[in-house]
Amino acid sequence: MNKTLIQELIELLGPDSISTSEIERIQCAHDMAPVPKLLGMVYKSKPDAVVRPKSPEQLQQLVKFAAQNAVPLTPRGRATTMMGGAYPVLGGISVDMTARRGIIELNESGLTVKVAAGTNYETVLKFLSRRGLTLYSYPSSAPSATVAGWLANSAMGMGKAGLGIGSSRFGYSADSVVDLGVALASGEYLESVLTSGHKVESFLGSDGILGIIDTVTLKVRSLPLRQEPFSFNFKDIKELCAAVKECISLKPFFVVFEDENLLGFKKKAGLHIPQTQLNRGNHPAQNIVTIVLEGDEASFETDVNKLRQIIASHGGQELARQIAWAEWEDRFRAMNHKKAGPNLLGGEFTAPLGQLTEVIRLVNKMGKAKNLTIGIHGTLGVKEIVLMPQVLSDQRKKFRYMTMMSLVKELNDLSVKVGGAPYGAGLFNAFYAKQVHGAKYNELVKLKKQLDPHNIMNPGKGICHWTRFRVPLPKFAYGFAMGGLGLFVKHG
Amino acid sequence: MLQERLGTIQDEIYTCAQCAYCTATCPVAELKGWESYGPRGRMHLLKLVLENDYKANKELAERFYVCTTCSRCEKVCQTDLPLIEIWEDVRSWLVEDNLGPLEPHRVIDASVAEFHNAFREAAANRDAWAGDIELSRKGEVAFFVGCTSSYKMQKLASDSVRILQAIGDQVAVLGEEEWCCGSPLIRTGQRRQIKGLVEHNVEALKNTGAEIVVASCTGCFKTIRDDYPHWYEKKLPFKVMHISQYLAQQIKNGRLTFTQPINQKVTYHDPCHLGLHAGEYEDPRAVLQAIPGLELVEMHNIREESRCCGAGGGVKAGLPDIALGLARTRAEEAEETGASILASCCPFCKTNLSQAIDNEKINLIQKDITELVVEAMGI
Ligand SMILES: Cc1cc2nc3c(=O)[nH]c(=O)nc-3n(C[C@H](O)[C@H](O)[C@H](O)COP(=O)(O)OP(=O)(O)OC[C@H]3O[C@@H](n4cnc5c(N)ncnc54)[C@H](O)[C@@H]3O)c2cc1C
Ligand code: SF4
Ligand code: SF4
Repeated sequence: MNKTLIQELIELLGPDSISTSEIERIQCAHDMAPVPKLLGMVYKSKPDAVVRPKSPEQLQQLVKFAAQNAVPLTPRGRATTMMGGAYPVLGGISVDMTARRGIIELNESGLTVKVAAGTNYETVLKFLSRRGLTLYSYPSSAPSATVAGWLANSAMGMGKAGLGIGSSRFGYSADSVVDLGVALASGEYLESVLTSGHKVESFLGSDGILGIIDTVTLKVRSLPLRQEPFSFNFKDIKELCAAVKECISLKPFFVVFEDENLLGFKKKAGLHIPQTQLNRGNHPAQNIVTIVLEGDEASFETDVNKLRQIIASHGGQELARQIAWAEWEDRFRAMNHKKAGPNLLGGEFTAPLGQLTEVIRLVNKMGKAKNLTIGIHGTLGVKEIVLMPQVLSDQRKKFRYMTMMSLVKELNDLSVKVGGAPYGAGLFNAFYAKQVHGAKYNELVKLKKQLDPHNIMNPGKGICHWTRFRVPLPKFAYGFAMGGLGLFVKHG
Repeated sequence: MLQERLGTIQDEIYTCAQCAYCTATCPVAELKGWESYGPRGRMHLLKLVLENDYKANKELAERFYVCTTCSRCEKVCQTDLPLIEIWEDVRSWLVEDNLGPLEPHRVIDASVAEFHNAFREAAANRDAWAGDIELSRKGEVAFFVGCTSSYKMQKLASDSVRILQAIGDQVAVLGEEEWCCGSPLIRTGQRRQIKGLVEHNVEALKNTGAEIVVASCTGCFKTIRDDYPHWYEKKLPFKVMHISQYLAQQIKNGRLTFTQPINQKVTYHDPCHLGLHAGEYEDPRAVLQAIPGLELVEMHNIREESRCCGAGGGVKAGLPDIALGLARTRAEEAEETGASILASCCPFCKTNLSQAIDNEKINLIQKDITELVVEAMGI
């Protein structure tokens, strides 16, 4: 953007809503995953300006301006994703949506809540719980993740969006969305997508490449009468997998597990490892699964009994109730062992639930072949499992860190091999867009052409991977580069 | 050089996950909006400086001075980073590089060096607040008055001592021998005088013969209790208590009783230095709840989730508009409870919240807990 354009934008939006200072622009040039400088050079990830729209009117003015002047817009929530979706590849304007926050309307009889896009999940959950209500699902980054950020992120692809806490009982995050307010690339502002002739699902899980979400109306429900966590230890991860597969029949609210390598990382980080009481002595747990059940009094007790039977039939051992509550309370702290790295590098992908045992076997095999300790964190989705295999790494050891990045690709390929997909496209996984979006991929490509013919909405992401030179990077080049780096990993 | 100094905390810098839990809870980040004003943004800046991708400058320094050191961020950090220590260390390194502190903070440093208090007041007038209260230099309980109560909010000092004397304590105060506790200097990264202040005050307090030191300023309380042992390099020869803790104890053992009801709805603001920093949430509430007729109504954000009044960390002196902006939000939250009194127990909270209440014409009266205790004791 040249100076004249920036000046015009300042006049249009007022100086309070736009920043062109270096100190602000560098903040919007990254997400949670550190990208080595060498790789970063192929993207213009630092925006020319950052805009924080405060109202629907301002958002609309911004989008019209961008459309008229062909300026790329990159929507940004809290940037708690790791696939490069929330920062630019072509510069332009970073649209920080966190000024659009707050509860707009609670409809207690219709059981819906309308919120501004940049409100974080925790705020919504607290607001609802004071009124005896709650959400159907929310991400385990709820303390910071914005509502629109989670719903826009392509995790499970267009029309499904994310998996989170509550998904194993209530479905994909998109399933509880009733309506959206969206600013389209044409400059048109749809106050209600539902009544506009467009489909709400198109804007969910499409990485913000079709429009910027400004408001979200979500279904809400009464707080359950009972909701309690139970934790179990398994000596053998295969038995844990078998138990997880079986307990899906109980429609648990949340299921999370960590294998012994991951618990080892926690130990290395100085964290307390839950203890089992075996043979009258305390022993650190080996592979832990925490299962949260909910329901009314009668169904809850029945389900708890069934759960205990399932676990016992697979040789699992129940941990003390206070351990289960502590694990549940830590549900938002999935990265608390990070200091053992200090970086965690790895993959995040889905696999069909039926493949759980196999996929863990393959990950462990990969670890052995590469002489790497891979820790596994997994959560249950709707009919799939989300796995986050990770290794401890250190970005200060630059060459080693870069070579280890090849692991991300290998894990992604592994997920495809077992019938799953990387968890979201964004920038770096856009090579897997067909797998991420599945049957919806062609529809998304078509919609992109229709709704954003000049390609100003989060360009270079989601369905293609662009560099700063406006040329898509072909998948084979990515495979070649990562393969090359991978050669250095073993014994590195 | 800041960059070199950052090498000593590089493990923390690289551990930061950039998850933004801190920023999502930070009252300053909420008020200012822009990412660089929040804790995650600052951690990112530190990394960029460390890696030579950003050069420290006055703009960066301002981002570090905008923080009230309330510690909300530290409480939610999922990688357990010692954020307050980081904020204060970085400020001290900015001072070394002459990029900090802010101008009003320099004035405080000069005043403490010359007058031993933050307000350029005569040291000889340290006891002026007492009026006709008889003071002693020896006692079983030493009352550390604090610069603000000594010179600016004298009722807080006199109420505190009147309560202690009324329950029969032998109370010592230091008079001219009380020097600034050092809190405004430590919080703003100005460390050159701290060792001397600490050693002087510890010796003076020791000389009173007291086993317990009581402070009604939460800044003094936290500084003496938590910062002094580091600078003194030894265990302190006395126990440090905030007056709300001390009074709660006296209620429990029957020494403090109330005769006058206060038939009012009262809401309580947790001062950061007492609540979030020292984990004391119950005792001030216990004191309020022991007062007959008083109905305690709570705000949404209390205890571990309490919101800062905005005055801490040198923000009231250095960036008063931000301090007032934060106080407005807190006072509005208090108003929503329907209370008629907003109680707290810190002179900084009192000053800032009272100003916001006046400016915004909020229907509340701000009172320190000691003021309510004096009323309820009928003294
Ligand atoms: C500790 C931790 C736990 C996590 N747990 C989960 C989990 O349980 N489930 C899960 O799915 N993910 C999880 N994540 C990943 C991430 O937090 C979520 O996907 C999150 O909800 C993203 O929200 P955000 O506001 O940070 O979005 P961002 O990262 O800012 O954005 C995500 C994508 O959406 C786009 N976007 C953002 N806002 C808008 C908008 N208003 N309109 C249009 N497009 C927009 C961006 O351009 C980007 O492509 C976790 C992350 C962390 C750090
Ligand atoms: S201490 Fe308080 S003001 Fe400072 S960064 Fe943390 S939350 Fe924000
Ligand atoms: S909460 Fe902790 S780990 Fe997360 S961004 Fe803030 S400082 Fe970093």
